[in-house]
This record gives sequence, C-alpha cells and structure tokens, in this order.
Amino acid sequence: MQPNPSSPGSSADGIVVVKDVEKSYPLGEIMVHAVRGVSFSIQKGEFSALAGPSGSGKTTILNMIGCVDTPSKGEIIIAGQNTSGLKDKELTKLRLFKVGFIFQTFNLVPVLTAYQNVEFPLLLQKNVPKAERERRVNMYLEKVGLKDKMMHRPNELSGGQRQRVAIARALVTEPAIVLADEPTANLDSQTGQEILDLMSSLNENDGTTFIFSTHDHNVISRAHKVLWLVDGRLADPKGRIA
Amino acid sequence: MIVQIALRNLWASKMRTLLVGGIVYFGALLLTFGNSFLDTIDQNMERSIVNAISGHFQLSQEGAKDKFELFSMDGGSEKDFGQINDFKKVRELVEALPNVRAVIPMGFNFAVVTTGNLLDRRLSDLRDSVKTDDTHKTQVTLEVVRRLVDSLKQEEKTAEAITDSKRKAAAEEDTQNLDLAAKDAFWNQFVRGDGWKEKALDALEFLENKIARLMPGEGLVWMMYLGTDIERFRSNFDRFEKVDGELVPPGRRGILFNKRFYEEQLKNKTARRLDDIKERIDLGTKFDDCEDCAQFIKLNIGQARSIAAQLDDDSEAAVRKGLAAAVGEIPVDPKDPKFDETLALLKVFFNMNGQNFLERYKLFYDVIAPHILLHSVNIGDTFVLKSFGKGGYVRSVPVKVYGTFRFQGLDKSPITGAFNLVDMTSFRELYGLVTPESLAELDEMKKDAGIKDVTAENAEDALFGEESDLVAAGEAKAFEGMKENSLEQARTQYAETIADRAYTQEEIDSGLVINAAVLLKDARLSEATGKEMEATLSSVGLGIKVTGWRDASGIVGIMIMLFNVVLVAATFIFTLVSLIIVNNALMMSTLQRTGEIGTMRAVGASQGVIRRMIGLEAVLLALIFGGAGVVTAVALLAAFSGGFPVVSDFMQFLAGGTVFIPKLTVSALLIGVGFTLFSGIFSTIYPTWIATRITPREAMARQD
Repeated sequence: MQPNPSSPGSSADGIVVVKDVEKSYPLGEIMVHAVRGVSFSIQKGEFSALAGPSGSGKTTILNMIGCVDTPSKGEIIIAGQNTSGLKDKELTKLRLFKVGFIFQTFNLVPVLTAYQNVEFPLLLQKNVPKAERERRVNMYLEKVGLKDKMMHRPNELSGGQRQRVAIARALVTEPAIVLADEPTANLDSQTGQEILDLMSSLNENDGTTFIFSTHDHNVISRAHKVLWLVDGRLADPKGRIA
Repeated sequence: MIVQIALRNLWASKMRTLLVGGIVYFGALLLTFGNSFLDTIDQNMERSIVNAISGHFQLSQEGAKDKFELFSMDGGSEKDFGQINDFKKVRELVEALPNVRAVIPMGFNFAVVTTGNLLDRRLSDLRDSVKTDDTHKTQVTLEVVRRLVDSLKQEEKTAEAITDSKRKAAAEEDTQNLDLAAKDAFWNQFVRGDGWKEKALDALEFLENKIARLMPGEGLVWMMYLGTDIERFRSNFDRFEKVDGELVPPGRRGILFNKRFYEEQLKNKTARRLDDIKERIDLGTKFDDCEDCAQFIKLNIGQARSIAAQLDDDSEAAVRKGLAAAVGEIPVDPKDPKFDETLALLKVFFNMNGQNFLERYKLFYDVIAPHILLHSVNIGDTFVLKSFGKGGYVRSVPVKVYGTFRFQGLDKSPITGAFNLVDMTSFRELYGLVTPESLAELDEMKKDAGIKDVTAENAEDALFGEESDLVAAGEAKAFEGMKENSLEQARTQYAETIADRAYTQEEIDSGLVINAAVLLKDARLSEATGKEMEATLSSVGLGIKVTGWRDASGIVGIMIMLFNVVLVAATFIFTLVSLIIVNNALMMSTLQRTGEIGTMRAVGASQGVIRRMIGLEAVLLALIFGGAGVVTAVALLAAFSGGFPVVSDFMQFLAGGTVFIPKLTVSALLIGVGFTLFSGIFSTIYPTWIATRITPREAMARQD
C-alpha cells in the first residue's frame, strides 16, 4: 500500500469513522474549541498519522477514537460501533476489546513483570483461558523481541524495551485499532527508528491498523495516510484548512 | 493478578507500607492489649465488689427517701434508704428462684469505737485485780500505772516551760493532782493492810477521774460496720477469709474487725509505723530514700516513753535483756539522778536505719510487743459500740470481738477494707430497729414502772384526769431497781446476757433489714434473673426495689462507669485518629499512582477492577499488620501471665489483689480484630472513590 499523505478519506465503512466531530471544553472563563468539525475515516490495515503542531487537536482526536474522551458534537464509529452516548462501562469494554494503546511515556505497571504487563489486558477480558493467554503473551513478546526479558520489571528495562512491552500489551488483545500517542517522543532517534520499524512490520505482516499522533517527520514519512491538523481542523500539508 | 498487584504495590512502597502498617499494627496491638488490660481491671473491680460486699443485686425499699447506694461519700449514715419490713418472706421468695444462690441481710452504719486511753485501760485492769484480790496482778499493774503517771509528770514538766500564763492558771489544778499522785504516800494506799481495799478503790477513783484524762488518748475511732447474718455472709461471699481469732459462732452476737481497719486504726501507733516501713521495704522502697520512714523513726523515738511506761519490772528486764545485744551498752548519765536506762535503751533501739531495720523490726515483735498493748481492742474483749440510730439518738451496744477477717486480695482496698462485720441483732439495736430482747425488756420495764398502754383518744384523761393513778404509781416504781443495782452492774449483766445467747435462723431472718445482697449461681444470667426477681417481688406487693450491683455501688459504681466511658472514648479516639492517618496515607498513595491507574483504565480496566485493586491493597495491609498486632498482644498477655506486683492501695483494688494479671478477654480480641477489619474497610472508602474517578485521560497526559 502506497502512502497517501494528503487524502483524509471519506469512506463510511472504515474501521474508524469520524463524522463532523467537535470538541470544546471550558478553560477558566473561556471556551476552548479543540476540534472543530473534523470528518475522516481510517481503513482496516492502514498505518495512519494525525500530524500537526502542539495544540492542533491531534491528541484530543486520538483520545476520542480511543474512547478515552467523548466528542461534544458529531460521532465516532469504531469497528462498526457508534461510541456516541455510550456509558463508561461500555466505553471501557470497547477499549478492552477493540483498542490497543501505546503511550508516549510507555505507562507500564511498575510492579508487574514484562510478561504480566502484557498479560494484564487478557486477564481483564476474563474469558481467555490460561493456555491461550500464555500462547499470546509469549507470541507477542517474541514479536517485539523481548522473550528473554519477560520476567524483568519495567525499571530493569531500557526505554526502547519498555515501549516494546507496551506495543506487545497493545497488540495482545488483537484489537481492531492500535492508537499510539507520540510513541517515539521519549526515545532517542535510533531507538525511535527501531520502534517504528517494529510497528511498520506488524502492520505489514499482521495487517494491524495503527493510528499515530505525532509531529515527528520521521514518523509522518512512514505513514500510509497523514491527516494534517491545524487549530482543530483538517488541513493540507502546507497548513491550509481543507 | 489483582492480589499480586496489591501485594507488589505494598512491597514496592516499603516506607509507606511500614508507616501505615505500623499504625495499624500498633493500633491493633494497643487496642487488644489495652482493652484486655482495662477489661481485666473492670472484671477485677466487679469481682472485688460483687464477691465481697454487694452481691449481684441489692434489694431495698421501693420509694425510700434516698436512692439506695452501698458506697456513698458519707457512708450512708445521713441517708434514709428505708427498710425491708419482712426480710424472711423476701428471702424465701427470692431464694426460690432457680438462679439465686443466697440472699444476705444487711445494714450499714458508722460507729464510734471508744476504748479509753492507755491509763484508762490499765486502771480498769487494776480495779479488777484489786476487786478480785489478785495480789500479783495488782502489783504488776500498779507498777505500770505508776510509770504511766510518772511519764505524765515528766511530760508536764516539759509542757510547763512552753505554756503561757493563762493556760498555766488553768492547768494549776492538774499540776497539783499530778504532784499528789507522784508522792509515795499516794501509792501506799495500795499496800495491803486493814481497810486497804477501800483506800485503794478511792485512790483508783482519783486516778480515773483526775489523772487519766490528762493522758493523751487514742482519740475516737470512727468505724464503718456492716450488720449482717455473719455466718451466711461468710459462707456466701467467697472473698471473705478469717485472719485472727475465731468466727462469730452461728447465731451469736459479736463483731469481726476488718484486718485492715484493725491494723491501721486500732494498733499501737509505734507498731503501726514500723509495719508501714516494713511494707514499703517489702514493695521495693529503699529505707534511705524514704522520707516518710525517717519521719516515722523520729516519731517512734518520741514514743519510747509511752512504750517504757507500759512495762512492769519483769517485762522491763525481759526487754532490756532481749535488746541488749542489738543496741549495745547504754552509757549512764552520771549527772542525771533519775536516769532511766530502759527509756534510753528504747530510744536507741527505735533509732533505726536502713542497715538494722529488718533485724530490729523482728526484735520489736519478738521482745517488746508481747509486753505492751498492741491493739486498743483485743480479740476476746467486749467493748461498747456507739452509733447514731435511725432516730438521731446515740445508741450503745456491747459487742464481743471474735476475730479479724479480710477480703482475699483486697487487704488494702480502701473501699472494701473499711467494713467491719457486726451481727444482725446488734445492728438492729444500734440502728434503732426493734429486737425481741428490747421488746421483752420494754415490757418488763413497763411492768416494773407500772406503765400502762394508753390509747391516744384516752391519753389526756389517763394522764391528767382526776381519777388517774397512773403518774403517781409510775413515779413510785420507776426508781426502785436503781437503788440496789448500779448502772455498771446492769451493763455487765446485759452484756453477759446477750453474749451468751444464740439466735435461731428464724430470729435472725425475722425482722427488719435495711437492704439485702442477692448472690447468683450463674452471673451470666443476671439480666434475666433480675427481671424474674422484680416480677416475683412486685407480684406479692412487698415494695422491694431490685438494683444491679453497679447502680447499687454508688460512688464505686460511678467510678467503674467512668472507667468504662474513658475506655470506650479512648478506643474511639484512637481508632478515629489512626483511621484518619491510614486513610490519608492511602489517599496520597492513590494520588501518586494516578498515571498508573489511568493506564489501567485506558487498557480496559473497569472502575470495579480499580476499586477492588485499591481496596484489596488496604485490606491486605490491615489484615497483615493488624493481624500481627493482635497476635503480638496475645503473646504479650501470655508473657505477662505471671502478673505485675501492685503497690498502691487503689491499684490493689483495681487489680483485685496484690498482683495484677492482665488476661485476654473476648471483647478485647473482638475490638482488636474489629479495628483491623474496620481500618481495612473504612480506609479504602475514600482512596477507592478517588481512584475510580481517575480517567484514562490521566494516562494520556502522564509525563514520567
């Protein structure tokens, strides 16, 4: 699949569909309009990036796609399920089964080993048998190249290794989409490159759908699709509002 | 996994876990140990009161003027608790209840013990020996009396030097009398010869009336007494124990002194002070560090003359021989023609110090005590008990002292140690309640004096009517007996009559009592038995009030209640403070883990999972440390099973004896475990509430 950096796409049958989404919140006495009428869709297996300067609204959109935040207006459909009006319990379930998260600061549970961190979402799913859990955890740790470090705790791992554990944790539930919020921002360029290579290969080999928020050109250049954001609106790569 | 996360979190934050766990541990330990400690005190106090005096319930008249209480500040002498008119019936009804062991009749009052001073008592002995022509006893007692009078003369000389002119004038007559008694001629009246007895008795009268009153007396001793059926009291209150003498024979009249009262109030002051020092040394006080001991020794040296004055020639020789080795040679003062070697020896002897105290204490009891009056009332004596009766008049009853008793483990209790036991019949007389004798006596007196019963309607006519012969007949007969019998003889006769008489159980029970103690077979059923008793008594309309021992104990009951209030308040405050600290620490810990919790929420953990995780952490912490605290408390109590020696009187009352043994109580254990569980549950509420409010957004915003 060739990258198409400027096309937001508009297919209504994507794995992620964002329709006329707005997000406003009060900040003191003024109302901040973080996202203003954004619509796009992401197809299954795409390696997409939400790009833009700080404050452009990319993390807000990512949070709304990840069911961590809800739009003030418009709707978001994840794997065919409209998230509008869902309660916390249903949103939590959606996150658990459909979404994988990779954080800028890795966000591993410090008291658990690498293995346990990866196993954690499967335990939350409750219905995954132990043998299946072991198989999947081992498989994803192997994919991220950390099988030999599975019994290490986060504080015994490097930044890159921690992010690999986080990637394995995001993938282990085999979600419809994996959201990565500036995944290389806290890594040196060499490690960041390695992490991008890893995610890219997972996308190519397993067809995993990735959506990044980033302002890193290295990440943008690797994306199949780039959605440029300026002041909460979609724009073209030169910053002109679409 | 959640358990593992909780345990790992506890392990990962060692300092916090130790701090919070330490508070929970200390709290559980303190509450279990402290409550066991205080519960034991409460139980001991209960046992001290219930099994010594109060019984489980007290019965008294319903609607009496004053609220019934056993231990009121004024001993109840000013109060009107009414009376139980038909004790026999009450006893039969209450003892018929299955859980009632015994009903003991009672009545409390104050009495004055008047025993006269040392000279009074020796003069009484002398009078007896002169009357009975006991030559040896007369000789021996006379020596002591003369020494006592000489000692008075000596003291008077000292006093003269410091007496002002006004008092000197007032004391002139006394001085003249003492001068007279100091002359050999006065004492020659006791020398056998023609009409010697008459002269001796005259001299005795002079000594009794003019001299004896100059001797400092023992003072009036106030005594609290409990009139009861002594035999049944003894066999039902299991803390009762005879110490000296014998028990009052069943049905007889008599008194048993409380050993504490007997030793503290009626014992020779010198001996008492030595006992006091000995007790302090036995409890670990060093003689040289004891300021009171130094003062006691000083006072004892000053009292040497009164000890010396009690010795006759034989006993003086025995004392000098017995003390010679310990005291050494006493240098004779050649300038003092009246140098009293025995007095000098006693003064040196009583000047005790830390090195020789124990040896001399033993010598005092082995060598000196057998020759002096150790107590102002001896076992076997009959003395007059004076007490204010119900009508406000002083009433006197002669009672025989049979022995002393104590309440086991409460020897030093200022509360139970104050009661002396008097038979029910004497109590009734002293209190002003009618006894069979007094009724019979009254009838006899009426007959002798020609007194007729007159109805109120006819009273005026019978007394003042022209036809009345009532007054004249009464006047004529009233004093006939008095001419022949002296008052003293009448008293002796009366004392002998009542001392020899044995009263039947029927007589002891039939009559009025002020109150009655009810002892149960099984104290655990006391609530039900109390209700049963109330129902039984009210059904027959006897007007009897049933009061639980706590309420009946008056000031002591209040003390125990306050003790419990303090206990509950302390437990509550401690629990509250520790919960606040634990809660705060867990809340801080939760806030520190906002990002982690947010991440868990982001990857799909529900609010319930977060709540369980944080809650479990607190519960595990509380269970581990609280459990350890409870176990430590149990181990500590087991380690202290030998008990602690208790020094002060009040502490002995609390301890129920001389050794305090804290015991693990079920309630203390429940409080300890309850605190552990409660601190675990309560302290999770706020932190879990905060944790469940953390959104996954917090994870996205995390910067670590």
